[in-house]
Amino acid sequence: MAVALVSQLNESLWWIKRHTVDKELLLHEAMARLLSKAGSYAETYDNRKVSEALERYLDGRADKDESEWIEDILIESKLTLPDLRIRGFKDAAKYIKMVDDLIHRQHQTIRHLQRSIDSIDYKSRLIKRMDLELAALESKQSVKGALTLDDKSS
Amino acid sequence: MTTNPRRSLANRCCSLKSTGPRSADGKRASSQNSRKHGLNSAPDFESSLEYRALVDLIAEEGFSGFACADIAAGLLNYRRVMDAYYDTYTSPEPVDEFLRDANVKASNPIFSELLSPSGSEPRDVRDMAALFASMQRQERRKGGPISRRSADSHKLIRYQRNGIARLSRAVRQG
Repeated sequence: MAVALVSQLNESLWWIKRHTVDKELLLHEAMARLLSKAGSYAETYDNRKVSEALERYLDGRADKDESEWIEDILIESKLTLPDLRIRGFKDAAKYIKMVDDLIHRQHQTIRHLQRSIDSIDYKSRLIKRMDLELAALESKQSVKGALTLDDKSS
Repeated sequence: MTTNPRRSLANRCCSLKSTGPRSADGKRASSQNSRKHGLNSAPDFESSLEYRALVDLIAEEGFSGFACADIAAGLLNYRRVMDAYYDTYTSPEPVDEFLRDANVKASNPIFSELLSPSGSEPRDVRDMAALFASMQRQERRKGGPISRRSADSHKLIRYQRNGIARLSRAVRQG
């Protein structure tokens, strides 16, 4: 029982980590969308291309062409990187709030599970369990005994 | 497979004229189109093998018969919600990249070419362009894949809340 509850608790922790990553991804998605809109249609109609270039640019892994491309779009849209982040946050605020709700839900789930684990009275359960096992062993023994008596009498 | 934008646009124009499925099988299949996660349908845990196995396992821990049934149903219900949550999260409504990124203004010649065999007027072409522009706005408003999966998962919060409350209550009362 405790194992089942702890595994649910573990799953909740995994979801919290996952949703925390999602918050960053949402911000990145919004920033890439802003850049796509700012650039000329022919160059930036492919959101994924812009998004990947921006990711490499922010990580410092972008090659010279990509860096220049991102900087050109930023100049074209009259934005600096912090401005882009702020505007991206503003655009993604609705979804970031949703992810915050999801994280909060997982926190509450953990609280519920903690209370459930805490409420199980292990001492009495252990004694009850031993009683049940003893009763099962006794009934098995009595059946065995009856069978041997039957064999002897026949 | 690469999609031809012209073909895709033609398919969309034709699909707007569709009046829906006609056969009984088609109607049965399309009746499930709006089914999202199935969490609103009443579950039947009692007849499942997992339920029996779970009840037996919990009974071995010394819980009473009623508590075992409650806890097993609570656990299975919570797992059902979390499985639906996982499915919703991993398969959000796909982004229609063609519609989202299409240049509607530049597609006007294609619209007129598609509509011209039926002797359409320029107004029909304008209407078609307006319709596509509105569909594009709706598509863009839904955001990218991460926004979509967050919004879809957010809809399942109340099921999670009820599921964990039911399980927790069953364990504490057991």
